[in-house]
Amino acid sequence: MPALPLLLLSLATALPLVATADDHEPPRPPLTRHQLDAHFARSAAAHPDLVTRFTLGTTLAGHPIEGLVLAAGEAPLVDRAGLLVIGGLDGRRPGDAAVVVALAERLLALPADELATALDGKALVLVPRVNHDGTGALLGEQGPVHERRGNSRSDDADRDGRRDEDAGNDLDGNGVITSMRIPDPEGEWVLDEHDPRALRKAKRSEGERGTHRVAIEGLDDDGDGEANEDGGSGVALDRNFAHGWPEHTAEGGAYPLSEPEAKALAVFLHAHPGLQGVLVVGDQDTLVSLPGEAKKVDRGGWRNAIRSPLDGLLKEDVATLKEFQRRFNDALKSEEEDAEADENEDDADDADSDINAEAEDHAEGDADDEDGAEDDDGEDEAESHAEGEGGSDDEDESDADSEDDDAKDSKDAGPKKHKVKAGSLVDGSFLAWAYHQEGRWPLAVKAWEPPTKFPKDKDAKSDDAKSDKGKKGGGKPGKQKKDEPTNDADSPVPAAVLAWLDDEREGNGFVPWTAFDHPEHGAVEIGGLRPGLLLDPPSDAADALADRLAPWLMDLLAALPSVAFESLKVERKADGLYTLSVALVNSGVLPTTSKLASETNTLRPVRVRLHLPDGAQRLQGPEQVLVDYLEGAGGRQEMRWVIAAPARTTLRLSADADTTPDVELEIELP
Amino acid sequence: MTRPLISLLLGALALAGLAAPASAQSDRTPAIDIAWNRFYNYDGIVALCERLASERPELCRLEYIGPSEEGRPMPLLTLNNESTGAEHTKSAMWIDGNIHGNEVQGGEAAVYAAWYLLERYGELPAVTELVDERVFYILPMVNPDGRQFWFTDPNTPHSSRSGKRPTDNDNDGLFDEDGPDDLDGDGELVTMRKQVEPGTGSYRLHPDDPRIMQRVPNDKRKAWGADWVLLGQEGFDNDGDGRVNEDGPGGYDMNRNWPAGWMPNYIQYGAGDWPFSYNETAAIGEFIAARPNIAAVQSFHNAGGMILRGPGSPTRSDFYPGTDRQVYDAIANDGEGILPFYRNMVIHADLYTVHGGFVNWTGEGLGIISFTNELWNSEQIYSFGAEGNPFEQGERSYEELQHLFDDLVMLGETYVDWHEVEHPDYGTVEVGGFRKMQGRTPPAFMIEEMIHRNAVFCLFHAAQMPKVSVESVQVDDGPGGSKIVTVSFHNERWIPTRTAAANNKNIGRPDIVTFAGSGITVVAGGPDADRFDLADFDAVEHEPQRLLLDGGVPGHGRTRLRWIVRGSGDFTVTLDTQKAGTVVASGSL
Ligand SMILES: [Zn+2]
Repeated sequence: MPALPLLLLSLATALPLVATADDHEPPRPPLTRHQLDAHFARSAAAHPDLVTRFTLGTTLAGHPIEGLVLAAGEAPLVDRAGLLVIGGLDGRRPGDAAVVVALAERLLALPADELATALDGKALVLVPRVNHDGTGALLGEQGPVHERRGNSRSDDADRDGRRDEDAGNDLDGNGVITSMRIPDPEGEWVLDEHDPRALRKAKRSEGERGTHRVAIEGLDDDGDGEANEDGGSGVALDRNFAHGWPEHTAEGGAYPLSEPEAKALAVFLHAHPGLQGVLVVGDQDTLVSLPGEAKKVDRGGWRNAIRSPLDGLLKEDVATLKEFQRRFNDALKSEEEDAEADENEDDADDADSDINAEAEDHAEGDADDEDGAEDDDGEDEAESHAEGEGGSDDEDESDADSEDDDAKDSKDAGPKKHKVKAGSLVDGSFLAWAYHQEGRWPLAVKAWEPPTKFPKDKDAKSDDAKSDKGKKGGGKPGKQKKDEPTNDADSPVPAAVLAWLDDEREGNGFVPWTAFDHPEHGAVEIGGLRPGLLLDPPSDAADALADRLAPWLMDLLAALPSVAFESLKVERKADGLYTLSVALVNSGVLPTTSKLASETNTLRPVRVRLHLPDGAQRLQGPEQVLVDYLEGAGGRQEMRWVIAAPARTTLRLSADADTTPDVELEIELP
Repeated sequence: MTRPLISLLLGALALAGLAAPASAQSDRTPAIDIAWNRFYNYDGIVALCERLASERPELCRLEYIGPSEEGRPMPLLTLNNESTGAEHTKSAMWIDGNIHGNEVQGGEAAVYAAWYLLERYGELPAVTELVDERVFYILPMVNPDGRQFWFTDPNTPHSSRSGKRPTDNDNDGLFDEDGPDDLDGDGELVTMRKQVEPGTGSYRLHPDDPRIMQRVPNDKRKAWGADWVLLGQEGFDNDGDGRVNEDGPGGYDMNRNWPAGWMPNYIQYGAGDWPFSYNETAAIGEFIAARPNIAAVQSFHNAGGMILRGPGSPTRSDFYPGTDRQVYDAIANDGEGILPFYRNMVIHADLYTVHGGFVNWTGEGLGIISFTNELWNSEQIYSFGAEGNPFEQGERSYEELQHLFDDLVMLGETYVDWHEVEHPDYGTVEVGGFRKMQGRTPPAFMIEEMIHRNAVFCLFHAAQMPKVSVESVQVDDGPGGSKIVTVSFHNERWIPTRTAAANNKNIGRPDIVTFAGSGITVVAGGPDADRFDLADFDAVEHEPQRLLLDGGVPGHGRTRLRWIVRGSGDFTVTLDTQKAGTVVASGSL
């Protein structure tokens, strides 16, 4: 076993809190399956009373999808309330698994009795990586290192009767499939004057012509005139779910849950109704930008039921998500206070986590609806980084217009911050399904966005740093303010990212452009960013996110719904005749279920029953009450019975549900 | 559009279809003698399938898929003449029935289709052609659990539609705990009625026939002294929740469980947890998806006399482009003739909205021309001759017609007269009404006609699967010593080798045409060649020796391809389709 797992352990125990941006720890490489396995084994061995390993399912290629259950006490998992945390749905984001692993480490580093109390009757289920097949491509387990978003499903993306026959090729033999920049007056890119390794969009409106186009490193293997058009991206697991499923697309798969990984997740969540929230660590976010309210709820029929899929959340559920968000931001604020003590005030605005800044905007309550409207494009924006011009993803092509709009939007919004835009539940995603069809709380966090700000002092600084790298045109501080390096959202090699790599990664992650004589294109350069670099959260971002998630999840465990019988009143009306009234009250912070779950019967309501012994009789009142939705912090429903029974009879009231602990109340009649 | 003349062969098929039962009922002794004037339970259908496979092993193979939720293996017949080619080299038709457990006659119709093909093979040329050139996958019971339960247990014409996976329909954490109950133990599930104070009911008894309940308009209840209420199916409140029969056996609809416009249960009742969530649907989905040569689908239901196609929802009309609709209509219009009392209809427009239906999946998900037939039309039960149908004219209620039919045609066989029963929740009630065999299924003496006509409608549909041959191979001299090769493939049936739906939605792959010749170099090539102008064709930029035909070979049409080549010797041009096998043209320079 290499030394890495030991390092992980010691980081977790010695540095339970923030690793600040200035530490410049070398990033840890992505966790391999073996390292994850070792982590599970260590955790289970170190905390036998709290940790159980479990296998969610098997990937298409046959790798087990494993995780941990954190729970205290004897109850089986199916009877517990709790949350499901998953990462690694997208093969290009192996760092998401590191968030979940770091989260587990932080939780397990808490005092054992604190943890045991929090997890009594409850559970946290953690699955760091679902898409082992796709991640394997980035880890170099499937030939040259390359990006694979989906699983190992083969496909005939170009519909020519041949499957996966035209993927990228490692032309320069460096073991990595990167990019080609091809001199082309019809191309849309030019070399960025601030860093000619980088590319920016030609300013065509100002009369500037492009000089290059960019493609994935490769050949037209099947001779159809298209390069890398059937490269095998597999089925994108996070588009293989039934809400808004993208039918007849390569990414969506043959039908909802056609992929064993997605099916395993669905079967597991469906079978565990007590797991009332899902937290997805990936490319969606619902905590920084709250998902919007459904614009129109189509109701009808004699029950006034919902009749078509919602394009947003029910308003009660948005309100509850706000509470999730408030608590998430509280966790952030205490962290920021710590951070500010260390950091220069001037730099605070430039803090590494732009997500944080954005979160504050939203905490102030602005523009929630706008975020809902902007929706789907957050992830497209991220994808386009990786795919560049060479990408053949249908989705990107079809959404090209909206991407342009986004680019405009973010310009209008000002250049200061990169905006995290993923404010709604993406069609076909696990999260959208979990809310719309299973009624669970849709929680999602994105660990990281690639830096988009070229440092102000960069030109001067970088001149010393890498004068040997052929960088020209350094230090023009006067001009720079006016002409800051652009950061085209879809640039395959943004200048700001290169600057960040230089500053914090000693340039690692960039493969220098190297001349190559291409059989189809002639003289090209091969190089650019390593696969996954613009998508995959680096390890310090993973650690920082885990720092926030750990206290927040502990807080949520305490906030789960909890019902009790209150305001019991028993009155003797006559000999052997009693009235009985009682209220079922939710003392938890969260409602007993989401409003959607109660409206659509996707989770079972709380069932209250009055149990009478022989000799007692119910004269009036229901044998059973199904309590659909009790809001948090005191939501209550009253109920009343008339009973004929001898004095001193003992009755029993019970309330049972999947999302709250069952309760019973024994009542002795006077 | 104008319909081309039905080819001689199809004429023969239609004639054979009409003539066959007459001869079978006269002096022709069946080789495989099966009674078609009755229904069969699960074991009975299995036995018929086993018999067909054992009597005609060279043409018919029996396998079992599933099993069902309750563990019943699902018999599936494959009819293919191996001596004329393997399954995947031929167009195939899928036929199933009985996805709704109570809609039993689809099972007999499906088995009959297999039987008829085997029984008349070698005797009727149209049948022989179908058996030799086509493949049939026939699954008589999509829902064997619901079928068996319908036969063995007290049921109504409408109950036991669901499969039998226990389901919590009333969301109380209990499964199937409050279904109907046969209160008097007579083996029948009929209706409950109760007499109440005059003016407080919603029904009164028909003045001429007290078996019949007449609904009283709300504002006439006092005036007419309405003194009866209807209490629904026989049953009581088994789980004490104040509701009766609200969580019966199963409680879902497998014909809403397919991945085409699928919607969750709260939008589409009975949809299941997700597409293919039931054992039966999953097994069928796997079987069909693995056979891209399936080019026609027929699903049998009851009742109402309908030939239905998708879409099930108006939002999915784009899955039925015009050229496909022409094919649907070409088949269904003749279907109306083959099936008197049946109408050619579109599911969402003429019936109701269905999300996630089976033929929606095969039509919209797989791009296959697919029909659902609703077998049996109750207009057939009683005729008023020249007066026309009094029910249609509003002069008589359907219930009155049913009584005439039961009294005069069935001699009382299908009716349970009202009689008193003690009810645990309602006190003394009366139970009575029509038995499960009346309403959605024909009487025994009409079964054979119904299933024959529906089976031959399938055969007509099967005959419309693409049948492609080489129409011409032409070699002309080209400029500079080159040769121009023109090959035309002709499809003599209605269904194209690739439907417009498949083409538009990127379903399956295009047809591939490959030019090969060892001494020959292909200089250029492409489709859409003009018949006379040798220079007129759509030359492709890449791979001219391997052309992709997105639209395949159209129905009753041709595709003409052209290559400019150099060299000499023999060549072949191979058309490779998913739905119609491979056709090879050859020639020489
Ligand atoms: Zn039906």
